[in-house]
Amino acid sequence: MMKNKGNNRILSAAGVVGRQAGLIIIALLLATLFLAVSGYEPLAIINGIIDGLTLDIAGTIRWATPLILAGLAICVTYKAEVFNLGVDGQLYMGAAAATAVAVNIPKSMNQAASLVLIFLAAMAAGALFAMIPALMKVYLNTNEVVSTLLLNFIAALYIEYLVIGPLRDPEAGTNLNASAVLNENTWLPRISFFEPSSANIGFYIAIVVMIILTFVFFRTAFGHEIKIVGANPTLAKYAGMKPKKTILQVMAMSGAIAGIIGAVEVTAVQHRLLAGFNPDFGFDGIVVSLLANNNPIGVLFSGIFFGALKNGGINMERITDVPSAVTDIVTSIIFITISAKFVLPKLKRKLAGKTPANEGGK
Amino acid sequence: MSIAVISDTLASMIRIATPLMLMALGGLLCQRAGVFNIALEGFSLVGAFAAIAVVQYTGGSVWAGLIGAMLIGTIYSALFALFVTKFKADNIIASIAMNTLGAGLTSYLLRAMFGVQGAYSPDQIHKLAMIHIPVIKDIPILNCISGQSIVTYFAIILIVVIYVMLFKTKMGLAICAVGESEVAAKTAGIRPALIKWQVVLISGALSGLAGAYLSTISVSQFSEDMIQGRGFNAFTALVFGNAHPIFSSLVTLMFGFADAIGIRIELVGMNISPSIIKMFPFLFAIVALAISSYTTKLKVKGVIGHKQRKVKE
Amino acid sequence: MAVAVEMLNISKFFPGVVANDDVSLSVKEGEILGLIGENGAGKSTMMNMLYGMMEPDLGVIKLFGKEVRIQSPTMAIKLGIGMVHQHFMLMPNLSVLQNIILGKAPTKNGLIDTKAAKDKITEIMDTYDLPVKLDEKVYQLSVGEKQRVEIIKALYREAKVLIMDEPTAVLTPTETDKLLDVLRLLKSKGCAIIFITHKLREVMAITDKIVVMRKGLVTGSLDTAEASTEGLSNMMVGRKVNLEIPRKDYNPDENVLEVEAVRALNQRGLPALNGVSFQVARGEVVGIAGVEGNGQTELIEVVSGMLKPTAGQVHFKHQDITAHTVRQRREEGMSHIPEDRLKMGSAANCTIRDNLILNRYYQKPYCNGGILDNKKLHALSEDLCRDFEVKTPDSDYKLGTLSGGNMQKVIFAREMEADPDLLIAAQPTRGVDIGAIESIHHKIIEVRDSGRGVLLVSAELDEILSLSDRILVMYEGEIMAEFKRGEADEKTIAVYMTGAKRQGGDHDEK
Repeated sequence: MMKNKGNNRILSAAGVVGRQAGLIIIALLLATLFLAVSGYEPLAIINGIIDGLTLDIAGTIRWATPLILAGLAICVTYKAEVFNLGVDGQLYMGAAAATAVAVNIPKSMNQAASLVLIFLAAMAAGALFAMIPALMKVYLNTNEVVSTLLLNFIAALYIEYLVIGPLRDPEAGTNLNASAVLNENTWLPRISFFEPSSANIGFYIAIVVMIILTFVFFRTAFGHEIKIVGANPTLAKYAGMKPKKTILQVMAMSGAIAGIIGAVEVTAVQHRLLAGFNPDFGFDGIVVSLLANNNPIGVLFSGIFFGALKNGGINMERITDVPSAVTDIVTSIIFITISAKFVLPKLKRKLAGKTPANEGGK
Repeated sequence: MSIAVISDTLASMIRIATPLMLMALGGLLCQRAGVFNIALEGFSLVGAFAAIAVVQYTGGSVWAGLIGAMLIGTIYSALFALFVTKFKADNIIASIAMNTLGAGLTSYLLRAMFGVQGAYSPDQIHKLAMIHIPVIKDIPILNCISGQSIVTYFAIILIVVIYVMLFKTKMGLAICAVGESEVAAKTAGIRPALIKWQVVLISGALSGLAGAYLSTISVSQFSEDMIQGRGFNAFTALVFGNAHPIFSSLVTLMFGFADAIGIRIELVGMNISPSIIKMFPFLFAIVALAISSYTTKLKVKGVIGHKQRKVKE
Repeated sequence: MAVAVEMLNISKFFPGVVANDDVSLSVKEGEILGLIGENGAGKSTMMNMLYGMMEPDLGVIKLFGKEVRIQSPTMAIKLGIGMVHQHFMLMPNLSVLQNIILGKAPTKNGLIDTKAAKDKITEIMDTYDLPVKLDEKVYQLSVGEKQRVEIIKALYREAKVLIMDEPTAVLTPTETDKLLDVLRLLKSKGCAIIFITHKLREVMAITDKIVVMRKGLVTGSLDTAEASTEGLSNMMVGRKVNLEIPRKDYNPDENVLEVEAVRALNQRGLPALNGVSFQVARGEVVGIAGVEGNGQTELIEVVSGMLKPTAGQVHFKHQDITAHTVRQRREEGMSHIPEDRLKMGSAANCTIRDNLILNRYYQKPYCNGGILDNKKLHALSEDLCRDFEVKTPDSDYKLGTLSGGNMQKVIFAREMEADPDLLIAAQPTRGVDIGAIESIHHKIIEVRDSGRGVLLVSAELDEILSLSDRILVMYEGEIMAEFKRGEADEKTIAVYMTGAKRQGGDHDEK
């Protein structure tokens, strides 16, 4: 019996992975078709990804870092059946706080200490901004999907306000809306092996966050509470848990992780606060998390895949005339197909016969 | 403020509200039918692009642009309808995917078709004349209604049409029934999937038109970030307006007003950052959302509204 | 009279399950067919096929002699089939009128012709004595009224065949009598009726012939005149059932639960409990009888700590626990089998283990400093599965893969493992088959015999009567009567359930 069960497990896990791989292939084929129809090099996108995973790992890591963190921020809340579409706004707020702290840190301060200060501030800012929709959800019953979407715009405009107004670099040209370049003691180090790329130790931070989340989800009482609150809030209440508190906690965690993204982008990549520096990492994070079935370890891999995709697109645009927006199309196609609850009918029947009710993604 | 300024502000409120109203009217039908459609943003972006593309290829015809945008908007929304009905897609995820796909597609096509990045203006565009209503155009304040584009008047007529359709026809009853309980509607002989297709396509056409309004009437160009959350604001408006055509439209006017006032403040030259002013409609939306969810909560708890009858056999 | 419906040699397969195996039945115009069987016997599947919700894999359906393929409810309605579902298919926020005309509204100039619709419905209401207020919203109606709306809905669509799926499950005895009268009237006008139930008394009272099903097969098909309750029950279960459970003599000890003058509001903010007081002692089962929706749900929620009372106190083991949280009460020795095992009692998408450890996952030795000891938790859940005879290879399977009875066993296992001083059991046997009912009843009596208190709430009067030492009757948030075991029979209790009478004085008319 035990062995049989193990086999079933492997079978169902293989089914999930196979399904996700299928989605990626469908999306890539469709995008290739797009390129062919519009008269571009059809294999550009596939070549871009391959290059991203072989020749230009540095660029892939650079993009994978925020995507993994965004995916983790999403999967924390998704486990509790809360939909935080506000990662973009929260990471903006994190970036703002990071900058505000960084510009006030004296040049003489030790680098590690300043970075700790900066990241703590960014995490707090992200978490606090996430508390707005979370409190609204818990106390007013407000749908967090709409509120977080709206708050994203407010956050983006707030950054714009900062870099045009109070934090503006007085020496910047009229076309550049940005803060002054930060002092070097507030820079998050890049990975020297990958120089001159902006791949940075934010990648290690992402891995640490991933490990912490995996531990929390699968090994702690809090993780069990998140799971039960997500699966059935009424059951959670009946069993003596506090679903409202859990929702506030996961939103705070999610916001804090989003804040880290903001701090990484400011201190390691841009070295200043730049209006509109965020190419919708938050939305991409949803796909990253969904493709990984909301499993933090899986998020690492799907984050690297989307990093390669993004990097490939950018390289492609630089070398050829293929628009990098094609990668957004690939992402969106994966996005929409993953939203569907269909599996190949034949596979479904097979799994239904052999394994316990197999859920095919959300 | 002089009467002229007030009238001017109100006129600009109506102009700003027009696309929101179109999106909200389509979105509220979806809402009533139980489709959570926050893809209005993406639908209208595609519509805005389609309008400019059609204008370019027809040598400047805005009329063709408007109709083309409605058509393309409908076709684009069909993808959403397909996933929501046939593949039982999670509405929220599918919506967001439609938004990101819309952004990706338009940005890609901008490069592929016109070889530019960011924004594109057609070579020629024959702007539509604004319509001046006799008599009303001479009444102070009220004259804000006059001098609007044909699309605005279409939107106003549409409020009535959708009101009647929703509350007085079989179709409307079926829409509400599907939204309340799909299984129950099915047992009464309604086909929920068919109803959902219809409402999504209508919202696609109306959002497409809203986008076209922005790109061919408000301005004369397409730019990648031109929707700027209007779709989400329209969605908030319909939530706040309880998915009622008249109330939701009034809410879009309030949004328009928040925006118009912001522009005034900017013009007057008060020392407020334009970025902060641009936040007004979103701040307004957040407050509206909070109020509406709070009142719904009270309603469910029986604190307000809802006539209750003592149940007794 | 002509044969209205014939379902011949019907088979339906689901992955891994044969839901119906070569089942045949027929009903004539002006005839009532009783379709009986336990949960999961395949009755609903048969009727879902007749109503076009699914199609048979094998077999033929004939209507008035003509072979038909019914692919959707729309087609079924067109063919003259109406169904009153056990869970009403009504839209709570639409009016009664809108619910009835949905999908078949008369129109004038493209708009709904409300007057024509009202005229037609009024005629139906008068003919069949089914009064309802057309302009009220459905959520304002009582259960009986909702059922009337469903019947009107079917008749409005000119149904010649009416399927009634467990129609009496939610009705008071008086309402049931009223319904049976309506069905007789319908029958006399030539309607063919299929009456699904598991209550044998009603089958005997109203049907002309009976089809008994068990595990997807027909185990009996006979005229009602030839049937006996005992014979039918054997056909349903396949063996003799003994619902008489041996129990120790009634010898109550000190009170474990004392509820004093509790008042509370329901979800909609209306008064649901209007000053309820009672006690539960160690070594007794206190049964609460009443039609659903008379405050039982709120009473349980107040006792278990999920709902804050607006007035009154709850004492548990001589301690005022009115302000204690759910978790505190659980830790103090209170367990709770909830009335809705899917909505409240379990998470079907989580594993059996996740469901079993809910009382323990945060406590030593299963959890140290917030970190789970998965080995110990695994051992705990495996032990519980074995002790409570949950049919599963191991506890890592999803709970949703279990049958209703096994799911209930998981909940029982979890709640009993906590070694409670008071067990609250709400509708403990709802939707489980007779075999599981037996074992659940045994468990409840075991709890009582071992000197703990049991608070039992059930809509099934039989269950209350067979298990309780004391019976309290609830009506509109008040306790109308109290009986000792054997003091009252079903009829007597039913009178108090409808609020017609109150012990110790007449019920003042409100």
